[in-house]
Amino acid sequence: MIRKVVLPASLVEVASWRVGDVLSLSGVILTARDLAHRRILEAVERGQALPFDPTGLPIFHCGPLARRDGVRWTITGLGPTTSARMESTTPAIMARFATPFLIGKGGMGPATRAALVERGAAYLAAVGGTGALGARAVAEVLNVAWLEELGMPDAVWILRLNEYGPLVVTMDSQGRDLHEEVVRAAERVVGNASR
Amino acid sequence: MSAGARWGDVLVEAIRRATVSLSPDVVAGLRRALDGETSDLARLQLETMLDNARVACENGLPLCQDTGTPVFFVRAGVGSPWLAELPGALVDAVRVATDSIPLRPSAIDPFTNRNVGNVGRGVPVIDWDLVPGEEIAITYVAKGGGSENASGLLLVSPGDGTAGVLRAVLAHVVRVAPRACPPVIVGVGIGGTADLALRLAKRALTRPLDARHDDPAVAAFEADLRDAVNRSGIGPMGLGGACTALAVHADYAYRHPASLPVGVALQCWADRRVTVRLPASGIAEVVE
Repeated sequence: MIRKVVLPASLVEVASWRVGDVLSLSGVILTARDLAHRRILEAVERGQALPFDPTGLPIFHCGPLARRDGVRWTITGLGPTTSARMESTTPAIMARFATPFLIGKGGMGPATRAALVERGAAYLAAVGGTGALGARAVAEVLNVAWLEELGMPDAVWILRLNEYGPLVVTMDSQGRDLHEEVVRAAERVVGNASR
Repeated sequence: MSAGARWGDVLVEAIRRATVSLSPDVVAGLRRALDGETSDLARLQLETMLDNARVACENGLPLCQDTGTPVFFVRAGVGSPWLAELPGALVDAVRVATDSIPLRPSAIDPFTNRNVGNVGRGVPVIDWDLVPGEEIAITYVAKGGGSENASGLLLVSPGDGTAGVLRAVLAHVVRVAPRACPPVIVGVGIGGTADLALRLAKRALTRPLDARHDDPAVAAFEADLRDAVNRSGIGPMGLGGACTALAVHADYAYRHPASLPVGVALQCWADRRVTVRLPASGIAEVVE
C-alpha cells in the first residue's frame, strides 16, 4: 500500500516513517549530486549567498535529464543516483539547512545514519533506472541553479512533484538501515559458502 | 543521399531505440525474476522497472535519466568499404542523438569538471575487433555510471584455479551489486592481460541474456556464479530478494604462467543495447 505524502511533511510525520513503508511524494524537493553538495558547502564557508534556499527541502540525489523549449524546461528523465557519493558532505548540509529527509538509491554510510537518528530524519530509496516514470511525476520546474557552472546533471533543480513513487523507507529515525541489513546477511551467506 | 548518409541515420535510430526501449530478452528476464520473488519489496521494485519500461517505450522517453556513456563494440570486417568513415560516423551519431532524443550531457573533463555533452576526449568509447570479411556489426551500449563504478580488476593467484576465480568474483559482486541497480548482468573476463580481462568482461555484456558460452566449462562457470550471486539475497535494488543477477556472461583468454587477471563488468537492469549490421552494400539495419 502506497502512502501519499504531501510536502512539506511535519517533523513528527517524518520521524514516524519506518523501514519498509512505501510512500509517494507530492510537493517541492531539490536535486543535488556530489558537485552540488561541495558547491553548497563552499558557499557556506565563504559566507556567500546561495542562488536558492535549500532550507527545509528534501534532497533528491538525482541528475535529471531536461529539455529546454524556449524559456520552459521539461524534465524527460528523473531518477536516483548512487547516494554513497554524498556520504561525506551530507551530515553538514543536513545540519545547516534542516533537511527533513533524503531520496536516493543504494543507501548511505554510518555518518548519515547517525545524522538521521539525531534529526529524526529518514532516507527513501527510489527505484533506480526508472527515469521515465519519474519524468511523468514532475509537475513543475521551479528553478535551476548552477546550470552553466556544473552542467545539467550536477546543477541544482528545484522541482514540484506529483505523486512521485514508489519510494521505500530504507533508513529511518530509529537507526534501522535496510541496505546494511541486506549486505550483512549477504556477506554471511557468501562467507559460509567459501569456507 | 549516399549510402553512407543512410547508415549514419540508422546509427542514430539505434541509439534512440536502445535509450527508450528495453530489449525483449531483458524484459523477459525481469518477468521471470518477478515470478521468483516472494518479498513484497522485491516485487515492487521489479514491477516498477517493468512499468517504467512500458511507459518509456510508449512515450519515447529514455528508460533512465542517466543515458550513459556511449559505448560502441565494433566487429569490423577488414574488407568493408565503410571502415575509413566509421569512426567519424559513430561520433557524429552520438552528437546528433544527444540533440534529437535528447541524451543527457554526461561527458565531463576530469580536470576542470566541465560537462561538454557526450562527445569528448575518449568518448564515445569505441572497442574495435577486426575480423575477416566485408561486414561490420556495431553494438551500442549505454553504460550507466552507477554500474560502471561497480567494475573490478581482480588479480587472482593462478594456484587458486577457477574455484578461486569464482570466490573472488562472488565476493566482489556481492560488495558492489547493491549500488549498481540490481538485478544486474555480470560480465567476467578471465585470463589474458589486465586490460584484456576487462575488455573481455565488457564485451561479454553485449551477449543476449540467455546466450551461454559455447565452451561447456565456461557455461558451467556462468551458471555456478549466477546461482551463487543470487543466493546472496541482495535482490532487486539491494532491498533483499531472490534475484540479484539476471545473467552472468564469461569469456577467457590464455594467461601468463604467473598471473590470472579477472575483469568484472556490471550492467544495470536497464541494459540498453542494440546491434546494427552494416554490410558492404551500405544498407544498414538494426538487428536486435
